[in-house]
Amino acid sequence: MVKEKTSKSGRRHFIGWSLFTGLVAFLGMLLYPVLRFIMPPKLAESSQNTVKAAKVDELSPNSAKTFPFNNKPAILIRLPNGEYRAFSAVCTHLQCTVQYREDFKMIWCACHNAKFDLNGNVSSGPPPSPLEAFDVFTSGEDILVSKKV
Amino acid sequence: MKIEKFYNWVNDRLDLSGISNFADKKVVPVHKYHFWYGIGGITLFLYIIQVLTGILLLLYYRPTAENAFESVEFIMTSVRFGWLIRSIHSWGANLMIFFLFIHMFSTYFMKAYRKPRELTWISGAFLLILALAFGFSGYLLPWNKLAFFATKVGTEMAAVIPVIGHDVLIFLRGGEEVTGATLTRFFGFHVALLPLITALFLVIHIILIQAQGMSVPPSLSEEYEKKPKSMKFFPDFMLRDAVGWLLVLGLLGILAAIFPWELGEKADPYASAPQGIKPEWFFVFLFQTLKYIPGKILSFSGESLAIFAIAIAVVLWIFIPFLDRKGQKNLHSRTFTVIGIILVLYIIALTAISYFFD
Amino acid sequence: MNTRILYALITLYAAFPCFAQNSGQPNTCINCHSELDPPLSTPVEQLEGSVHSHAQINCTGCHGGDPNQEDPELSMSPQKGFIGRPDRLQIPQLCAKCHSDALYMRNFDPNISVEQYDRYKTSKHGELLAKGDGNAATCASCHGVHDIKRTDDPTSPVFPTNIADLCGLCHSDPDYMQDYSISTDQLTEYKKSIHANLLYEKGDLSAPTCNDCHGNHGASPPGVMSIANICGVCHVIQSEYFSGSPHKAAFDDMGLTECEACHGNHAIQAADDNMLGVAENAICVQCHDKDSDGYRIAAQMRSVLDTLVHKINNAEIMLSKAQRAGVEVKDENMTFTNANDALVHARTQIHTFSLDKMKESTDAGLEAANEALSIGQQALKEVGHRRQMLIIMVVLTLLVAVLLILYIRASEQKS
Repeated sequence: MVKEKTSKSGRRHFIGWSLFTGLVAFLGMLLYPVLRFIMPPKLAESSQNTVKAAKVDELSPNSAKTFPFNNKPAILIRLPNGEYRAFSAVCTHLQCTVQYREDFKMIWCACHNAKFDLNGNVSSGPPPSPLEAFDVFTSGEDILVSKKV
Repeated sequence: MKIEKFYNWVNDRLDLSGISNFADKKVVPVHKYHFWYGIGGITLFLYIIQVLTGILLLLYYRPTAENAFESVEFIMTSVRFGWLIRSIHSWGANLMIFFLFIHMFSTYFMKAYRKPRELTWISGAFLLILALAFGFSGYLLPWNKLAFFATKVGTEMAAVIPVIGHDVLIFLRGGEEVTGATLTRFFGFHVALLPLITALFLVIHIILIQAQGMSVPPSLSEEYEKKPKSMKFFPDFMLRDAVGWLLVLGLLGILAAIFPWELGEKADPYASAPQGIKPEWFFVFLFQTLKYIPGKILSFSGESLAIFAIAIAVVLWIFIPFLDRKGQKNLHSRTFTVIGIILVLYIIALTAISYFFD
Repeated sequence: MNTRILYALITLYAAFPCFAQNSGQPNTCINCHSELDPPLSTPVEQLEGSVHSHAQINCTGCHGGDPNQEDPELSMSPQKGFIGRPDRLQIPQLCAKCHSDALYMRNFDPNISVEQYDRYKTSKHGELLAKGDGNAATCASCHGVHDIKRTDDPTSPVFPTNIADLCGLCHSDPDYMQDYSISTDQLTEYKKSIHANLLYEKGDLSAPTCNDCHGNHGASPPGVMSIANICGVCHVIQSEYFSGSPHKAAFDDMGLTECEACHGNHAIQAADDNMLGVAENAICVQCHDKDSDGYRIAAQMRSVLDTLVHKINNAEIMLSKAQRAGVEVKDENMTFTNANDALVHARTQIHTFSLDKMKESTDAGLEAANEALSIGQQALKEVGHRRQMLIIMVVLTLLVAVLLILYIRASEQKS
């Protein structure tokens, strides 16, 4: 009789203990995602109106680089005089990615030999409209590119 | 022991005996239907989840046409566990409304709206309307294609109200069309206006329930009075509630795992409406009803008449406690049970038709 | 002496009527004709707003006469150089009096061309007119008469969007064209073309209309040898590739019309992958017999291209699936862009008719597409991970629920 009682209370004790452990784990499981959620991710902006395109000393005059801007390629060009310009790198003809040609100082699309001048306007070839131009500005060590407002 | 010490410490400074006496004395009747008493608690639990996940989403969400979709995308792709929080918020909203309907019909069939609980019923009815408004406004916030057109069609309905219809439409949309202005406005409703009003009604609803206790259905009351059986609210009923809440949380996780809430495509106000747009499921039976209404009834617009009929039905539903005369005398009214059954069948049938046959 | 000078001046005046600019004095041509009934008053209305009226060139510039005389007999006397309605056959010369005068035209626009008349003489229209065929188009047929506008004026009949219909006025009229034994379906055909679609639907004014290929003042059908050059004005790379390809010599030998031989002319459509290959509707098999090298290469080129298209489509489906599910696919998008670039380039390289050259692009494209595909698969795996994580959470939640139930039972047994 006494033995049965102790075994029963032992069982109760065991259930209580496991419930307590379970609850702690459960609360941890609830809290962990929440804590992770409230800490902002590395890229702390949801939509990119501005993006870091390059470092200040990255591009020498008369050169360029392409970089992703809102999921699409964009091109940052450093003119021979040191000035920066940025455009969408998506050709307005068939959406190929354009590149900067140091030899003739124009933006060039390899797909159909289209040429754009350094203002993004079509100077020859099939594209029906100019490349979208972006604003470029420097912030500390970074060259930032943003959508024109 | 330590808990006791803490209780005494607080009790020395603030008299807790009222609360503890209340908790000690509060009982819940036990009979063959007492299971249904837990549904309201589940709904409340889901509302709390909504508030908490909603606050979390607010950390990253941006209520403008340019950024809303992108910010939800950002939450789901870049914020750690953002997909989880958003999935739970979306599924939680749907589950909350589902349990609200069950809660409403269970109290209806148990005739819990009888005197003295009329005000509980009415405040509950308002809470349901508020929940639907939460659902309607929240649906637009991710600014995706389906939500955009559902909102367009939904707000269109407001225009049939005589005289002030157009003004209501303008008020809802923040202009003639559904635009970024609508989004900003719906956001305001969703996170400020509705929570405030809901909190008010929720407090009234809960205070009334605590003050009046649980109602025993009239069909059982005779039997119950002969042999009253009850359970202490604290901790017995409370623990059972907790089991229910955990199960609902599990259900939420299962739903989110099997049907992850998708992002869809960004809304384009100038695109033509996609095929087969449907409102959210809890509006589908109303939407389907409108489909069957002829364009013209006598010289009136069929749609307007139908919307009036629905509005009248809603008002009658809110005032059920005063319409059910037998109920006021604590008697079981067969008529009202039949009405309720017809309504449930109607809702289920039209929803099913819309999803499976249209 | 004085009369002689006066006479000389009048002769000069008649010889260069373009110098008869409005000097602010009352113009009796306009005064009288505006009072008359149509059609005699119409020229006055039409002249207003025309390019000539802007340049202060009045009636006498073309018709001669003296606008200072009140008396119609005097103002419209042949002595004053009045010619009335110019002879249709003489119109080009009449216009050329000013428009071929470089020194004079320079006054209005330093870049204006003055070789229209020379070109006109080389055109089919000019040849016919020289033979005395009054049906042939002259300056006025296209540019209008009194209401001539600048060519960049959208209401001008020779504005890009109006040209095709303008040419069609004659060239689509079977009765009118009866004696010239050329077809009259060019306009209907052109309207079906990708070029017309670009011009009219997409509003791209750089899209070619009749005159961009046939010339305007020198209008004539392009010669067999010049087609690639004409198309190549816009389609530079394709034309370059074609000229360097084995087809160039072969087409020349066979008298085939370069681009037109495969792509057609007026009703030209957007090029389609189905043109390539050895299927029944492919162009290649029109010349290349089965068992020939050309046939084999055509088949291989098509299969290489199809593989790339297929891969890209798969990657795209994968990508949109992942995107809809809310998984990060940003890098994948860039890779995907590269694959698409390669496809566009490969399609251009078809014109080299060399499998190896085309493969340079398709190989790069395949690599990019495969990469996109694998990142896409990774992204979908992430969806799977999320599911697994949720399942673990659900299991833990249910476990706690079960423990709670056991606890309730146990504590109720006690009481």
